[in-house]
Amino acid sequence: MNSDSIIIFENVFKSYKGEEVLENIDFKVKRGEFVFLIGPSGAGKSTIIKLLNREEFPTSGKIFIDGTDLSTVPFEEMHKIRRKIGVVFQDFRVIKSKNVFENVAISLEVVNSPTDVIQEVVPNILGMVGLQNKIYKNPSELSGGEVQRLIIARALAHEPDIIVADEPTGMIDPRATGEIMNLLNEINKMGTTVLMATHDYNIVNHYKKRVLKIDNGKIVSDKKGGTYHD
Amino acid sequence: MTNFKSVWEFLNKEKGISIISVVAIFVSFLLLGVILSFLVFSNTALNFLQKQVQVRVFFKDSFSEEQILTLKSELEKDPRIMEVGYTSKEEALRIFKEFSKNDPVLQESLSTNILPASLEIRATDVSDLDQIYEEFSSNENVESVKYLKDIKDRFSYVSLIVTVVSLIITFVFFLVSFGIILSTIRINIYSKKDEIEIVKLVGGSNDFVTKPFIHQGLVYSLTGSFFAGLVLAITLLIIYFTNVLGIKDLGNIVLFMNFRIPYILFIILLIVLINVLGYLLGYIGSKTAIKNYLKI
Repeated sequence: MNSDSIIIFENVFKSYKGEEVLENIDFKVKRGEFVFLIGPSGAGKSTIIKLLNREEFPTSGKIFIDGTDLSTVPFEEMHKIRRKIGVVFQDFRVIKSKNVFENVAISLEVVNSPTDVIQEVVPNILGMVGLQNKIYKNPSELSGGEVQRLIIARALAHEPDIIVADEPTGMIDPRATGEIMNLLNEINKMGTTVLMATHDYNIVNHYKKRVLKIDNGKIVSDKKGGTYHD
Repeated sequence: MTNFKSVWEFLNKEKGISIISVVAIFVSFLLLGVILSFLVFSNTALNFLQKQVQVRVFFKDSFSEEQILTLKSELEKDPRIMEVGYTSKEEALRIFKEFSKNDPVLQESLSTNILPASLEIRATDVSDLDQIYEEFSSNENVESVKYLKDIKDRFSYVSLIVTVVSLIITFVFFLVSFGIILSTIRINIYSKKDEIEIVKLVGGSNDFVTKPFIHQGLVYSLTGSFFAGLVLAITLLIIYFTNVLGIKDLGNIVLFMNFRIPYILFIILLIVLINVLGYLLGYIGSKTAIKNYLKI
């Protein structure tokens, strides 16, 4: 096992009701790398993200996170793996009954952070994502871009090794997109591995990071400093 | 999802469901307490009645009063025997005359010698009466032995039926209470399904996700069982001090078999039992309710 690689997919297949959605997915992501996972809608990007966080199970093949084979981790131990990953969900998954502060605090509470640490860290993180003035607002009072920044703040709060972002700019305006991308880029510069699924070629072409292209459930190209064209 | 904060948030938000749940659990535990009290009171009453059943031994005239009284002293040392009463020939005649006072012809024909002296034997455990009966039946100094075996058997049968029926009803109410807690927690879990999923996906352990629901189950069941215990305690004390059921006359309460405890201790034990059951039901019910939502 290559210890440089924090994410490894080994010959992963995934099918739903007999229909193959991922076919022989095989790639590695090094620590501190920024990787774009690109492809058209329905290509299988979100499935890869869900497999990484074990919201889904592969039909065959193996997935390793920081050296741990996910298929060997029982349900009750999975939280230890998930604490290494900060997930930025595509579908604005926030806890509607909690305010901005509480939504971020939850990722610290799950790792049993003391209250004084939570009180100090959460405002700092919210400041990083530009939500310092919305700290006690309800998610329903935020714009799409602000909700997405809230989700990034939650993903960052417990200082994960990996940030996995599933179309984080898919439902926000261009100005908010720029802010989110700058944020992810800064996080990556601090040493956090970023794997971001997108089908926005403007973003991919602007940042010139490693690009894994997926189409019809297969990896069709893997280029460093790659670009993306329809 | 900070534990108690989350529980109180739900209680405040879903006041209707919370009140219905607590009331339903309260009623179940109250019925449970009433049934358990009924069971114990029935056992105490049956135990009291069973002890009234006796073996009456009539002696031949050749067996003197002195010999009978010596035998009585020996019997009183027998651990199987609770009480021995002696009725002399004269006393037997007096009682018979009292019964037949409206029949002067019969009274005229009676003499002291016509009725035998007897011993009335009460056993500590009613099941020993058969053996006592057999022992005296084969005694050559005994004229006859009277033993109302049917009454004893009927008391034993009624006692068994009361015990079995009460246990079944208790078990049914236990299941009903369990079902109520299960349903209430499931309603809450369902309303927080998305939150649970998010917490799991950001690294929440099963314990972290489960705790608020277990606390919620405990708040419901312990509130319900506490008030049920309180109402039971007050009712049982009123029953005792007004002696409306004649409880005072029965002496100590028969908890099971021949194990007796004071009435006040019975009330304390009942309250403790109901609250322990409340705790167990709340814990097991909520743990069971959330189990299926943790597989993510």
